[in-house]
Amino acid sequence: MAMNFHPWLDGRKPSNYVAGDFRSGRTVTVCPGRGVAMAKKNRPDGTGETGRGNQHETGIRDDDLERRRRELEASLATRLPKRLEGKDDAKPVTGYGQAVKLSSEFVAGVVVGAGIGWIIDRMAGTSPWGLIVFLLLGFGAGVLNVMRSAGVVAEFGQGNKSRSDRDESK
Amino acid sequence: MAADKVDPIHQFHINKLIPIEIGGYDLSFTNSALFMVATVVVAAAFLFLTTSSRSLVPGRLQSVSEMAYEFVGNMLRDAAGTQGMRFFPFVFSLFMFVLVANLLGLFPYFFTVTSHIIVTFGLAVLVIGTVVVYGFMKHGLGFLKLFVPHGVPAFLLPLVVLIEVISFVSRPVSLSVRLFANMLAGHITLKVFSGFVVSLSALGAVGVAGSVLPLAMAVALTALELLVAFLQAYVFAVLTCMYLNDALHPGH
Repeated sequence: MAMNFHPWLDGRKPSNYVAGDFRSGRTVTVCPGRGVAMAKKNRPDGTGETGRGNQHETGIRDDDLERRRRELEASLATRLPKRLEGKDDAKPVTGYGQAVKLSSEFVAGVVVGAGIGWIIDRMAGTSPWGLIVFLLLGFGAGVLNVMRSAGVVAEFGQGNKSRSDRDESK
Repeated sequence: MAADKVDPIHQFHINKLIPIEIGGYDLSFTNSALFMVATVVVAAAFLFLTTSSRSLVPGRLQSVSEMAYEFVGNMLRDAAGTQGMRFFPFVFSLFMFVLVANLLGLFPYFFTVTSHIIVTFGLAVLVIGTVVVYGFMKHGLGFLKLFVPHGVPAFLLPLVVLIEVISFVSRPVSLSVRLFANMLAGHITLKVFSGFVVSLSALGAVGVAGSVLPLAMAVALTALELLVAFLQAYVFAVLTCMYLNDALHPGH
């Protein structure tokens, strides 16, 4: 809705007596639907109509952003392989090593779950139920182990923050 | 005679060399124990002899020792930070023990210590025991934060914590199973292919010609086993470092 009257509200009128560069960040704030924050972000779709100067500035900021993004990627690239390498290897041995690794993780989860269930059953005398419940939980733990060792989910104690999040926050 | 040779499991039998029994427990000195002692002696002697000259410009063998030291040191520092270096003796001993045991197992007629799950499980329990004891010592009950991930809805929390605990307990199991399974499978495969060579060449000229194939396979597998021996020792040490990292920084 705001988009509809946007072009003639701040596009035509101010262009008569305000210099292009001065106009750029400010014109959008006139529009009630969109806040100052929008103007600061300098979205090309909203502010593009206001004049050449604005587009020019957007270009500079995009360049800056692009450059910073590339720098971040470069610094991540130098950091990430080392971390991944330190995390686990098994990359040199291709399929076989990976298969043994993942299957042992999964089997360990199920076996430990079943073992805990069996012990609880023996101690508390709740015969099949502990085994059933903990076997299922062990199944879940096995899947979690596999995903964790494949690097798909976060490590222990790190919750649902993804790897990229943690890198950016550093 | 041939049937005896082909049995691929025979190499894992444990024989009592010196029967010892104390208080009803069987504490015999077995071939497994002999090779564990041999492993420790070989590793210690190698490290001691190669570094005893302490030359500033290392010779070949001294630089092998130094490489092993730096390799484990970097691994530990990367995974657990500088604080982790207090565990360096532990990790380095584990790494050298597993590596030397794996390598000794590659010699014909030698016993592979790490192909028995009780040995690898013992090592893994030692690792996890260290993690748990040190974690509680350093952080008290804060160590339990390890089992509570961030950002999980409250009604799911008991389930998630239970699964995380099982996942934690399954670590020593998977750590030991991985090493043991790799060594066992590798040695059995090697034995089976070598057995093919023997039983094929008993068939006459055609058999001898045909036995070239399994022989080539056995040679290739030996090279692979050498790689696996290094790799499994490395994996064991890396995972130890990662688990120690959890003990140092739970909740991270």
